Parts: sequence; structure tokens; C-alpha cells
Amino acid sequence: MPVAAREASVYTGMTLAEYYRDQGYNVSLMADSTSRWAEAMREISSRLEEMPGEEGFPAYLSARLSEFYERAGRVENHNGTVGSISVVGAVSPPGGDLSEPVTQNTLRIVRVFWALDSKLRERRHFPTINWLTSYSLYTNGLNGWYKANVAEDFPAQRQWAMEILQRESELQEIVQLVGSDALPDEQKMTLEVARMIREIFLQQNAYHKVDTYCPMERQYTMMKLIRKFADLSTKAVEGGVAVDDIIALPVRNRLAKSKYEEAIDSELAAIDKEMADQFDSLGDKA
Amino acid sequence: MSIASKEYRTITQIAGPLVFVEKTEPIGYNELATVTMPDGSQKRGQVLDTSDDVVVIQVFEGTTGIEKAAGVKFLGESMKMPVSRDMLGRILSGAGEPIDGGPAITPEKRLDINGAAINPWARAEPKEFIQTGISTIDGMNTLVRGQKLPIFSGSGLPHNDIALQIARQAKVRGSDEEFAVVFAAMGITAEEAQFFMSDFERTGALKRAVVFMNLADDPAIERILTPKLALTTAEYLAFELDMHVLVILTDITNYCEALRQIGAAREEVPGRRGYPGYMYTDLATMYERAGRIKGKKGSITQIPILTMPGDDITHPIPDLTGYITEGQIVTSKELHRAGVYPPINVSASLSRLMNAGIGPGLTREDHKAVSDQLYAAYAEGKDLRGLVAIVGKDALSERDRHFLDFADAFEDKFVRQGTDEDRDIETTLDIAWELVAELPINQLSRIDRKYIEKYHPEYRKSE
Repeated sequence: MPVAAREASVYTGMTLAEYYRDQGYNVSLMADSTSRWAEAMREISSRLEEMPGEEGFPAYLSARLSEFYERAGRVENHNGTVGSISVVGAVSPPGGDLSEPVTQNTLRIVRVFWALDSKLRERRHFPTINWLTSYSLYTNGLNGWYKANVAEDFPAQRQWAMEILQRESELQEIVQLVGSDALPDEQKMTLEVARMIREIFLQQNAYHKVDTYCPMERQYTMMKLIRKFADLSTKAVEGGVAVDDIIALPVRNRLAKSKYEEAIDSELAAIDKEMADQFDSLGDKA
Repeated sequence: MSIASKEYRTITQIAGPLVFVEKTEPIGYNELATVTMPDGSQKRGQVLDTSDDVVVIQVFEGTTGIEKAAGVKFLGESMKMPVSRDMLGRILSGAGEPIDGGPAITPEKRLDINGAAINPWARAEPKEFIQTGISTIDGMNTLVRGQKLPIFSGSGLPHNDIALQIARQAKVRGSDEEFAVVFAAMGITAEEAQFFMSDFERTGALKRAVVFMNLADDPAIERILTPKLALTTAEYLAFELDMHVLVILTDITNYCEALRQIGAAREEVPGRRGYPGYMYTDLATMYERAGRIKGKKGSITQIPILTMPGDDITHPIPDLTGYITEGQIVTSKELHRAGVYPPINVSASLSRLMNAGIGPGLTREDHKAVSDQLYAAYAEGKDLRGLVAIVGKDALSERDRHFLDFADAFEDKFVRQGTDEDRDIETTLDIAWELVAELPINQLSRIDRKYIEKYHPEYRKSE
């Protein structure tokens, strides 16, 4: 397609979205990718022999990006309806270098950032959203909604999971130096729990009919079970049970595989019942 | 056609491959031109730039010997090439002239070498699995008909052997439809050309191939033409003669160098690293000529090969290519040095259309799960290698040791294979299962229980 069409396409898309928004629809607009759009801007700019800015992009790159993203939002229409446009813009920085101009100028405008990580892709962790570098500035604003619509302790649970993942990344640095065998049991357990969060909760298979979509309630239940497992295992470790015995509990494996079960919700309920018993049996051994 | 008959003697400047002609009638962009030397010999060229007072022509055979007294004629049409079924089995120059001593091509048709863009709506979704016989590609980065999957390589790596192996072995299973290979070499050395031609002849692959050879010392302009000619041929074979065509383009880096050379000669504002700002569009018009069209039997699958300057994947050429193509196969110096052929680094490689081409009815139901498990376990094993270098193997846990051994076995048994070893997909998956079976069963988090029960060697034994 001609380069000028590529430059114009985001505006065509946005104008169409605004048309529906004005009719009271909630529209989501995907722009894939704004880097290629910027690339087109750069190409046209150089053809026009304009003075290039950073990395050859035109000096008005930042202005154009803001003008585009600022067309998103929620509005009250003249006829009293409410419409909105949510924009998801894909940025594909060369070589994954986030310091390049398109990424940096985009980050200055947007309030949510999903960082896709090629390291995660290499190990086939999908979706490849890096949990530590990504952020949403809407989290606090949404806490009220979570409490009213999902569960009272949903925000607290989210915070707990983030703390575990953060601790994991710190511990990983130590593991890189001394090996995981040198860690005390309690920290080994933290690594195991983080692995569970990653493999059970964060990872999803978009081609599996159950795993591809996880409603909020189920997300809450899954995380609650992982947390329950974590709490019980902390107690068990304090009581002198070996980490390997805890990991080998059938309930852990069952939880890991539950995401592929057709009747996942009843499976999760069954796991919930079973978990405490299995930990009790560990106590006997220790 | 009155314009076509006029001859201009108004050459004002000759710069590199370009000739500047003044005071012409209106001339169209991309129109063909002939330059006639005072001694009567002729060179062909193409209009690169046209304005009120000056027309720029790029001369295919190079401008050496052209003087201001030479005459220029515009032919009033863009460049066309003769195409024919008889091109199969022929070796042509980068400009499309036979160089194998055979007769000239008798045209069945003459086609515009710029092709016509495929209407996105008319495209059919690529989904048929192409078996290349190479485990790392078939098993983990599956190629499907109509895909464009480049090989990102470096100097000193055997990407040519990989390309030839694919050209020899590629087939769609359970189908006897006609399969053809169009091979376009751009800026390769005479020695490489020799290697390609003799291999094509040795294995009999030439029978179903059309080879275009633009050598390193051929004019840069011709290099820009070569892929266009190759793709025009491919389009004819695919969409008019219903063949399934595999197009191998090597080396895209040389092509981009030629683009830069011509951009500089035209005094354009350079973009990143001196490459022209329109390189993205230029590459896209080339790569986008791959695909399948609804209602047509044939297909064009592209494997462009490029050597990354300094092994830098962020260099503009691999970077822009990666934007357009549906994934990439990346080769690795480390594996090559370790004596592993083909040295394909699966971790960095990706086929975006893989999921469309695998699964029940296409390959095997367990394909995706096993492939995911290999990726995950290999990534883990590679991480552990770094750790072993610091703390030694003894500090690893039992579980970690399994993964470390897995990474070694994976490179040795799964990645490594012979240049003439044609593994079918079942063999590839069986090797994968053998490797996976060395890991504890409860660590196979990517594989559904029902596949483990059906394919895991442990369960098979007990049957």
C-alpha cells in the first residue's frame, strides 16, 4: 500500500470510531502499529526534505502522537447518551529498545502500559506481558469497582501477588550468584509460589477453549487458591516440612492443570476442599 | 506512441548509475528508456524521477561509456518481462537473460515486473503445512503455504545450505500438486553462484526451479530488478499455472545496499544509517507479493535470507523486514561453532502463522503442546548454563539438573541433523517426546494430560 495511505489510516480509523461514539457506543480502537505509522511519517517527511529530528523522525512526532491519543475518552453526547473510545496502540520498537522516540513519546501520553517481553516469548510464556515493567495508573481508581463487583479483598490480593513477583525478581538475582540450593526454605517457597502465579495465573493459552478467557470471578478464585496454598505452605515450612514434599503435593499439580478442565469452576471448588487435608497429612509426616 | 519515437540528445549529467535528461515531453514514472551510444550499441534504463525540466534514468547495465552525445528514447511503458512455463529448469541473469547457454525464453505472456498489489480482501488465509524436513522449522517454527518467513543470518553461517535444503525437501504432504522453486540471488559471489548451480544440478532440484543470478560485480541497478523479475515469474507460475511456488531471495542485505547506493546517487535525504527513508515501503512491496488468493489454486511462499551486519538484529534491514514478515528464523554463531547444523536458534525464531498450520488434520494434535514444552524447557536449561558457569553443577537442585541436561540433549538430537536428512513431522515429534520424557512428568506443565497419556514414551511402553 502507498505510504500516504499508511500515514492516513490511523485518522480514518479514529474518525470512524468517533462517529460511533457520537451514537452512544463504547468503541475500542486498535492501532497496530503506531511505529509503522511513525515510520510512514518519517518517510514522507524525508521526501518533503523537512529538517529531521531525533532518529530521523520529524520534529512534530510527539505532537502528532498526542493529538491522536487525546482523541480517546468518554463523552456525553448531545442526545444525552454516553459514548467512549478506548485506544490500544501497539508500538514495535526496533530491537525492543524502549528508549527510542516513538515509545518514549507514547509513554508520556498514555496511562496504561503493557510491556510485551521477548524474553517471555522465548520461553513461550503467553501473553508475554511483563508483570513488573507494565503498569496501569487506573488501578487505584478501579479499586472501588473491584470491591463492589468482584470481591472485597480483590485489591489486597492483587497487591499480595505483585509483592511475591517483585520478591521473586530480587531473589532471582541472588540465585544467579549462589544457586537455588543455597537459599533458606522460606525463600525457596517464595520462588515456588511465584512460579505458581506465573504458570497458573499469568500464563494463558489463547488456543485452548477454556484457558483463553478467564472471567474476573475465576481470576479471583484462582488467586485465592494460590494464596491459600502459599499461606499453608509457609506454616508447613515453619513446622519443618521439606519444600520438595510441599511441591510434590498432588493438589499443586491438580491446581496447575485445572485451567484446562472443562468444568473448571467445580474443579477449583474441589481443590479448595482438598488442599487443607493434604497439608494436614504433611504435618503428620513432619 | 509519438513520444516513443522521439530521441533526445539532451543528457546534461551522468552520475553513478544515473543519467539526467533535460527538456523532454511529459514522461511517466517507471517508464522504460533506451540509451543509444554513438557507436550504435544500446543500454536499457528506467525512469526514476520525472519533473518539468529533468528526467532521471537509472541504467541497468551501468553508465560506463555513455557520453553526452548519446541519444535517449522513452518507450512509453513500464518494464515488462517475458514469462513461460519453459522457464522451469533455466538459469537466468539478474536482468532475466539466459546464462545457461540455452535458447532465449519464448514468451507465453509479457508481464509488468512491478506486479499488482493483492487486494487484502482477496487474500486467502495461509494454513497448509509445508514440511521442510528440518526439525527446528517443522516442529517449532512451522512454515505454511503463502507465508513469508525470512532467515536472519550472519556472515560465515551456513544459511545457503539451509536455503538449499529447504528448496530440495519442501513439500505439502498428501498432495501431488505442482511445486516450483524460484531462486533469486542478489549480489552473491561467483563462487557462491557456482555452489548453488551445482547443487541444483546435483540433486535434480533444477527441474522444478527458475534461478536468477545477480553476481556481486553486476551493476547495482540490476540487483534491484532481480527480485522483481523473480516474483513476477513466481506470480505467473502460481496464479496462472496453479503451481505452489517457493521463492528464495538471497541476500536482502545486498539488495538494500544497492537501494542505498542509488538513493545516494540521487542525492536523497538519507534515513537511518544512510538507507533511504522509503526502504520500508520498498521492502514491503517486495515481501507483500507472497500469499494465497481466494479462488486461485497456486500460492507464493517466500523465504528471504539476509545477513545481519555485525549480527545486529536492530539494524534497519532486519528491523524493517521483521515488521513486514510473518516471523523469522534466526541462526546462531554459538551453535555453528559448536558444530551443530543447522545452527537455528529456536529461542529467537518465530513463525507467526504456525498455529494456523498445525494441529489435528494438519500435523498432529499434540504438536503445539510439545513445541511449547520444548521452548519452555530449553529456555530454562539455557538460563541454568549461565548459573553453572558461576556456581558449578553441584549447587543445582535435582530438578535443575534435569533441565540442564535437557538443553544439551535438545541441541544434540533435535536441532542437529544432516544436510540431506529429511525428517517427516512424525519423526520430529517423536524425537521431541523422547527428549521431553527425560524430564519429570510433573514438570510438563505445557502438555495436556490426555496427550501425555497418549504419546509419552512411558505410557506407550506400558501399552
